[in-house]
Amino acid sequence: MTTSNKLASVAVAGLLSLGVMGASIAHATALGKVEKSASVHQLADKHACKGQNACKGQGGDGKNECKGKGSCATDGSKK
Amino acid sequence: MQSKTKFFPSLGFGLGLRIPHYKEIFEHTPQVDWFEIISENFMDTGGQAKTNLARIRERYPVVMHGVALSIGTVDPLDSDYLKKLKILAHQIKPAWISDHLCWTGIAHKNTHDLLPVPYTAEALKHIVTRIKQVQDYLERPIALENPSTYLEFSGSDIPEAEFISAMAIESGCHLLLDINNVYVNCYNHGLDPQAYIDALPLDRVVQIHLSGHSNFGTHIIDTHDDHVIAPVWSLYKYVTHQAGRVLNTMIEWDDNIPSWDILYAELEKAQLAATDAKNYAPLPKIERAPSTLIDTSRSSLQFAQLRLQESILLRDTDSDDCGLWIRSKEGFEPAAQLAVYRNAYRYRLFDVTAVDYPLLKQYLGVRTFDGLIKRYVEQTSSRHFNIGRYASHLPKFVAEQLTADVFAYELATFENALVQMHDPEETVALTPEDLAAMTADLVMTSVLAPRAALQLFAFTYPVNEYYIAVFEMDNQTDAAAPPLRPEPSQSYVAVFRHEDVVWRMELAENEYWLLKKLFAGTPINQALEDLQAEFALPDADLSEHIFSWFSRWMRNGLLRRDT
Repeated sequence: MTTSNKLASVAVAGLLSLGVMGASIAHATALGKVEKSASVHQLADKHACKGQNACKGQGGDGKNECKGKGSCATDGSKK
Repeated sequence: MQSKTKFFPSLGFGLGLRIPHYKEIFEHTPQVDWFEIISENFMDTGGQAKTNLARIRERYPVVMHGVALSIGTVDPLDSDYLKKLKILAHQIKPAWISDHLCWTGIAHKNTHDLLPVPYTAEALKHIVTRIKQVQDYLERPIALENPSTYLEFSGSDIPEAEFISAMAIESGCHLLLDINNVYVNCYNHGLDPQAYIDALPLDRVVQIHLSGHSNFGTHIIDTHDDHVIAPVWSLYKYVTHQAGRVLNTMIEWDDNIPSWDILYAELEKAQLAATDAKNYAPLPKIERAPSTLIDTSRSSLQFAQLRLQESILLRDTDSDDCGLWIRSKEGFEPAAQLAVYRNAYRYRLFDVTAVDYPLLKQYLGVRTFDGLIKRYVEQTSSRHFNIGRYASHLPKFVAEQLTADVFAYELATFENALVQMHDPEETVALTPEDLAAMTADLVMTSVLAPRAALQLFAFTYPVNEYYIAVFEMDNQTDAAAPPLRPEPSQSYVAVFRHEDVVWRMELAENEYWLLKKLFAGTPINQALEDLQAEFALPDADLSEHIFSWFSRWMRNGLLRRDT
């Protein structure tokens, strides 16, 4: 058996090895570590049929910093 | 009437389905007659969103409400959109399908807003023709909603309610009557709400929308962020009384979304109002004088759409002449009417982009990040009906804008992958059983295919480590100082989705190299030979790695079964 065939046999053995999703977490090494991306990038309803009058949650001080920044000749949305 | 009963059954009182309420719905299955979904939140994605919808559909009737059909645009109908809409309808079997009397863009650009059409004979003919085409394609009648509008074209020479009535009768479509929108438009344009309702063919109304709004004195914006106001409840009672039946009714609440209990109480108010329809209060009077200026010299549908879209998209467009094609109103001049749409476009695209890049925001700091996103919105047009795809072009923009900051580009690329990974269709994972029937020789010469929801990355910075450090180990908040850029260090990561969860898997350099080779179509035995030649590793070391790599790829469902 050639070297490449030996390696291919090892690869096939790996493919045929049984396991379940996440099993690698329990045997995590520095490389091959598998982690969920849960808490950061959540699903969001990006489409809606509402009118919009402000940016949500932008701006470090909680104010709408993106509001009307030179985007219009007249900002008719202000009171 | 038979087709109406078949395609628009009487369901009762429903709610708009929104993610913050999923927990309540899944855990307690509350008593709601039906839910309305926004079609576009489900028709271009294949992961968790679809799974959640399937769980809802098992328990409740669902109706599909769209925001991107763009029935009024002079562009051709979007065949990709219609195909995906029909597939979703086939999958979830909605009680009915609706959208809006509006257009969303022209010249293959998309503002993702529900823009007004000029109410003219030309527009009516165009829209009626397209409604028929859509109904033929979907093989069912649709319902269209009266939109909220913030400007009137000076070329409009048909009253809005008469236009809607003619549209329904001539096309055979039905109506979704948004009673808040009636109030909003009557307030903004000086119309009489009772006369508006009286001009509609109420026998064609199959659904009612109720929602709150924001009153800015000079005008109202349909923000769906508050309780329904008393005059709108009065209008609802009046419509129910005039219709002579309880119509399918639902509450829309899309911003400042309240707790389930508050939303549900609003629905109970609707049920009470419907049973007390004959006691409707005096209808609200609108004080604004209607504008009577009609200038049909600029009434063409294409002119109106080109002019409005150009004025919305291009910040520096000279809109001094907007008084020539937008009707002037007391206290709400053409430039102010136009500004509602110009601002809404920027707010909307800013939000959908910023929400996808929390790490980049942490890294750059709020001020730099907000400036970057504002420039992105000004310089990048959307060309797809799915607004969720808009932000996926940001990494390229970061590379162009922050040329000296490769880490910012790599971080944006990584975040984009984590978000977009929710969308590919699920594929069937390869299992050991699939290979058991094959000879070893056949497996060795096979080509391995990646699952659809998988991307491989080679970074010059430890992006995944940074991700972990910021969000999972340090548990920092937005208020914390932006973390420092890490030192350059090659890193390799696989991002993939398995059973609706997005995962990150760190890879060794040679593991990444081998996966790229295999997924490029190289047979297993050839790829391994190439690997040996490339990295010159001792056989013993390589054997150990290869077993563990192939085993891990299999366990984590990285490989796709060919069907």
